[in-house]
This record gives sequence, C-alpha cells and structure tokens, in this order.
Amino acid sequence: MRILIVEDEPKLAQALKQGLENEHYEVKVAATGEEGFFLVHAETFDLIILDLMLPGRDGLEALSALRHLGFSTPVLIVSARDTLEDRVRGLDAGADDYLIKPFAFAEVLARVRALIRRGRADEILRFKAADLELDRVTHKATRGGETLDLTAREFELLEYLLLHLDRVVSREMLARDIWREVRRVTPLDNVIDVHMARLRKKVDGAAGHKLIHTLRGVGFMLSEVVP
Amino acid sequence: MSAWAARKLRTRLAVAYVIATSLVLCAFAIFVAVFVHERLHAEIAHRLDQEVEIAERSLRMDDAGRLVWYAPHGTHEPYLPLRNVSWLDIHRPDGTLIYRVPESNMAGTAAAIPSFEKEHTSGIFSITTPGGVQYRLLQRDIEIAGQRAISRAAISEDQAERQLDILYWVIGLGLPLAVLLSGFGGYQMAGRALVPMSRITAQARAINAERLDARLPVVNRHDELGELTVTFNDLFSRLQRSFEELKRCSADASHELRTPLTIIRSVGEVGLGRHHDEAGYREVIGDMLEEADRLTLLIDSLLALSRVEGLQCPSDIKPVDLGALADDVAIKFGVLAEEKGQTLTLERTGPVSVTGDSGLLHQVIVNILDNAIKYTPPGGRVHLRVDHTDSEAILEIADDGPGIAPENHKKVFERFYRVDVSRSHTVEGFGLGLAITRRVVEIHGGRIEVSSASQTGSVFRVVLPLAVSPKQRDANRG
Repeated sequence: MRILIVEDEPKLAQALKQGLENEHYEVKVAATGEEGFFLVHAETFDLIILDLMLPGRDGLEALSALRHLGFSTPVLIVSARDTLEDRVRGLDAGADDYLIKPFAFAEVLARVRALIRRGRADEILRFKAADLELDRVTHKATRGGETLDLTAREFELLEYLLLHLDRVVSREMLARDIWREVRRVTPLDNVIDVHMARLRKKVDGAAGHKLIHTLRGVGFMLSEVVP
Repeated sequence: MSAWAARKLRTRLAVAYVIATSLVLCAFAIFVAVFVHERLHAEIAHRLDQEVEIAERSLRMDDAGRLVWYAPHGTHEPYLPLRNVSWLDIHRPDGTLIYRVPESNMAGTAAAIPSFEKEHTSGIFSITTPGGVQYRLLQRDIEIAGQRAISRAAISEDQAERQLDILYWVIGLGLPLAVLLSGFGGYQMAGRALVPMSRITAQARAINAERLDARLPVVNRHDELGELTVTFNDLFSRLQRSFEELKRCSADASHELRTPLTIIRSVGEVGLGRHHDEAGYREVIGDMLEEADRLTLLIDSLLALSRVEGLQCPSDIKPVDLGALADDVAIKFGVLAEEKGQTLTLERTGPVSVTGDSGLLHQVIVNILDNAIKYTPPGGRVHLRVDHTDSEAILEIADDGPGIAPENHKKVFERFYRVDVSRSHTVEGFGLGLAITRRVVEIHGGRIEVSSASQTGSVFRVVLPLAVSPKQRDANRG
C-alpha cells in the first residue's frame, strides 16, 4: 500500500511517514503542492494525505485540479482550519475525509485504514483475541468461555476496541464514534475513562492475562501483547 | 451628503430659526393688517349709522302731510354731530330733496356728490366720485307716520386709507428688519449653545486606548449637554472595562498556554538528560502527550468561546426539548456521579420546548452538570430540574458542593475564573466552561444565575424563553 504525504512542515511529515511505515505502508513525502501534483502524475498511490496550507499551490487548488483530471485516489485532508465551512469546502473539492490539526496519530491510522478499506465488504461478525470472543449477531461477549455481563455502551466499546485490534484508539475517536460527540470541548474524557475502567474490570478482572491496555497521553489498545 | 447637510450645525440652526421667525412675523403682520382694515370700516359704518339716525329725528310731518326738515332752533343748523360726515341728504321717494347738509359743512366736496338715484338699494357700499375720491356710502329707507323717505350719508375714506398706508409702511419696513435681527441673534445664540459641544469634542478626541481612564468634565448634569457627557462617560467606562477584560484575558490565556508548554519542555529536557529504561521513556512521553492534550483542549475552548462571543443569535435554530436534552446529558454523565457515590436525580414534567442550537444548549447543561459533579464531595447529591412557567423554560442544577461566596456569584462566569485559585492546578479545567455557558444562554435570549446558601451547595439556574408551540399559538389566536 503506497501513501503520499503532501505536507510542508518537515517534522510533521517525518512523524507521519515514520508512523505509517511502522504500520508497513510505503510512504512518500512532498513538501509543496507542485511536487505532490507531479508525484501523483508520475507514480501510483493508494492514498494521499494532503495539508491545505501549502507554499506555492494551495492544497484545495491542487486537489480540485487532480479531480478535474480524473484521478480518483482517496484523499485525506489534514488542516488546522476547523470550521464547518472549511470542512464542506474540502469535501466539495473532492476530499474523502477531513481531519483537524492537532490530531492523534491513532486517528490518522484509523482514517487511513478506513479509506483504503473503503468499497470492500469486509463486515466482520465475530471477533476473537486470545480467549476473548465477541459475537455481533448474538450480541454476546465471552472471556475464557465465561459470558461477560456488559452494558450496551460497554459492548459497543469492546466491539470498537476489537475492530481496532492491536491498534491505538484515542479518546477523541471514542467520543466521536461511540458517544457521537461532535464538539471537542465537551469534557467527555472522564466519562470515557469511567466506562473504560468498568469494561476493563469485567474483561480483565478475573483473568490473569490483561488484554486492555492504557497508553498514557495516547489512548487505549486491545492487544494480546503488552505494547 | 447634500449641501444643506454639509453646512455646520450652527448655520443650519440659524437658518431654521430665521425661517421660523419670518413665518410667524408674516402671519402676524397679515393678521394685524386685516384686523385694522376691518376695524376702520366698522367704525365708519357705525358713525354713518349714528349720523343718519340723528338726522332722521329732525324730520316732521307738515300740514300738507309731507315730510319736512324741522330744525328745533328755527334754523337749518344741523346737530353738531352732523359735522362728522362728508355729506348727508334725505330725499322723498319721488326724488325731491327734503334736506341736505349745508354747503359750508361740506368742505368743497359738493362737486363730488353723486346724484340721487332711486334705484340704489339700501345698504352700505363704497363709491368713487368722478373726482376720484372714495366714499363710504350708507343708504337707508325710512318711514315716518306712513311717509317714506330715503336718507343717504357718506364719509370720505381718505383718513382710513392714510392710516392703513402708514400701517403697511411700518410692516413693510419693520418685518425685514426684524427677520434680519432674528437671524443675527439666532446665529449668535446657536454659536453660544454649541461652544460646550466643541469643547466636548476636543476632550473626547484626547481620550484614546492608552488614556481610557480620562473622563469628560460634567458641567451641569441636568441639561442636554450634561446628559450627553454622562452618556459619553458611561461609554468610556464600558470601553475601559472591556479593554481591561481583554488585556486580562489575553494575559490569562498566554499564562494558561505557557503552563503546558513549560511542562512539555521541562519533562522533555529532563527525560533526555538521563538514561531511562523503556518504561521510563514511555512515562516521559506520556507526560508530554497529556500536556499536549491539555493544550489542544484549551485552544479548542478559547476558539469555542470566541465563536459564541461573536454570535448575536444561534446560527442553527430548531425547536429543542430541554427536558429530553437534560435526560440525555444526565444519562451520559450519570456514570461520573455514580463513580463518586453521588446521587444524580432528574426531575422533569412534560416536554419543555425552547428554540435554539441543540448542540450549544447541550453544552450548557454539560458544563454546569460537569462542574456540579466535580465540586460535590463523594456521597453528595446533584439534582437536575427542568420546569417552565407561562413564558419561560427553567433549568436548575443544584449540588451539594462547598457553595460559592456571594461576592463570587458574578465572577464565576468570567473567563479563566476558578473558584479556588490556590487549587487551580488540582481541579481540572481552565475556567472557560461557564463563560461559554453564559454567552450561549445570552445569545438564546435567556439568563443564567447562581444562588448559593453557604456550605450547602449552589444552584445554577438557566432561564430561557419558551418556544411557542403550535397548539398554544392556535389557542392564542382563537
């Protein structure tokens, strides 16, 4: 899977490149709109991560031009412009997703996966991690054969963690996808932490082997190995 | 701007004054002229009337049954009053003369006397003799003991005309002079009245962003200029307050921004300075990331605040059921109260509909409830109540916390205010939540207040205008 990052801030570009390479993506970086435009013409990519405020050619302009020429590569915009109008403008220009800076890297990964996966029907009905199992049809979760007594919200949380197995889930992702909270200022972090603590108690409480891990300052991860 | 509007206020006032004065003076002059004219005519008519009456008393019947002039003193001397008329005669209907004021009395006007014409009807009218002299003529039918006669008397209008002429001259010369004088006076007066105005302008010009503490001197606070000055001073006070608040806010904001940055920096530096094992580095990086999160949240909150402060009304208006919204928030945040062993209760009757941005109103409830849970000790109580009066929706959130001292009731809604300053670092948040909350309530046309009996917790009360439901509207219309 090849990803092109068009970003003029070298440190951010480098961090994204490193992070994505750790996830086994092949990454190229372009520092200007022109360079990005040229690279898209010269090579094939599965995804473009595009900054909007670029020197020379503006990100939105480059995107419109690409779409005009018939390139259909999925584009994820990352921008500090955070109003609804900015988002709409980005999506109208042909972007597939819009992420506001500053973002959690876990979020970038999740969006990248979602965009690359897009179009493929890979609806998973049963999740399994070590001796933890979750059935989306019967709405049942078991650990070591024992049924876990989960509330609806806890079930949703566990499902979300399993969907992102071995990957970090940030509080922001949870607030948006589980609590459906659009505004970032709502003090939901404590609420999320409480629910997560309860879920952890039910999932990991009895078993010796811990599956749910907290990564300080980053979020949570469900994994068989300690990260 | 028209040429008229471009003139100085002083000129405009003077011109307006002149126009008003001329109109009044003209109306007055016309009234006087008409009045005097009428009076003179009335006086002439009255005199003629009197003279004729006196003359008629001198008529007697002679032996032949004809009317004749009878002079009590045996002469043809008329009564003295008869000297007042220019001329007087009495005829019989057949045209023969009974009496005529003697020539000597008539001051040489004999030639001007119009001949007697029977066709002349009774009444009073103006005649002009062939000599060009204007007379006022009274002709009257008289009947004495069955005998008819016609008497005529006339007075020259010369004198009256002369008087009127003098009046017209006085008006014609005096009026322009009066207008001229009033114009000059008006210009002077307007100038004098506007002097304090120019002074205020000069002084106000000297007050700027650097010298906002200066005020205009108030000379007399009861006149219009005094009111203007007081209004200006109030405006300056408000400006000064918001400037100071702005200064304080940016100072607070940079302080708040600096704190996490300093932490990131020093934690990073210290972390780099020593060799750690992997867990140690994770700890350091985790610390830094947490502070980065804090920074993000602070910036988002500042942005949210500046956005709602820029709004005059919510941009997305829909009917919102405040009760359902409270229910939603209570369910979402109930888990926090549960964790602290607090009882969170919600009391609401039917739907309470307001209009507004449901996202922002949701934020209002969240911010207040989050605070209530934060400041209420474990095991305490938090009570949410949604109710309404005839026109207002009421949301009350009462807690069991330490309460808020009355002097801080207003301050809690200020930016970056935190109830206990010394603990500011242990209690999370930046003190922006309630500032955002108040602004959101304000742009929804409502108000928020806090009441607090010390030591027994505080009650936040949000009052919003109730949306008019279709049913009510119909009821009102019917």
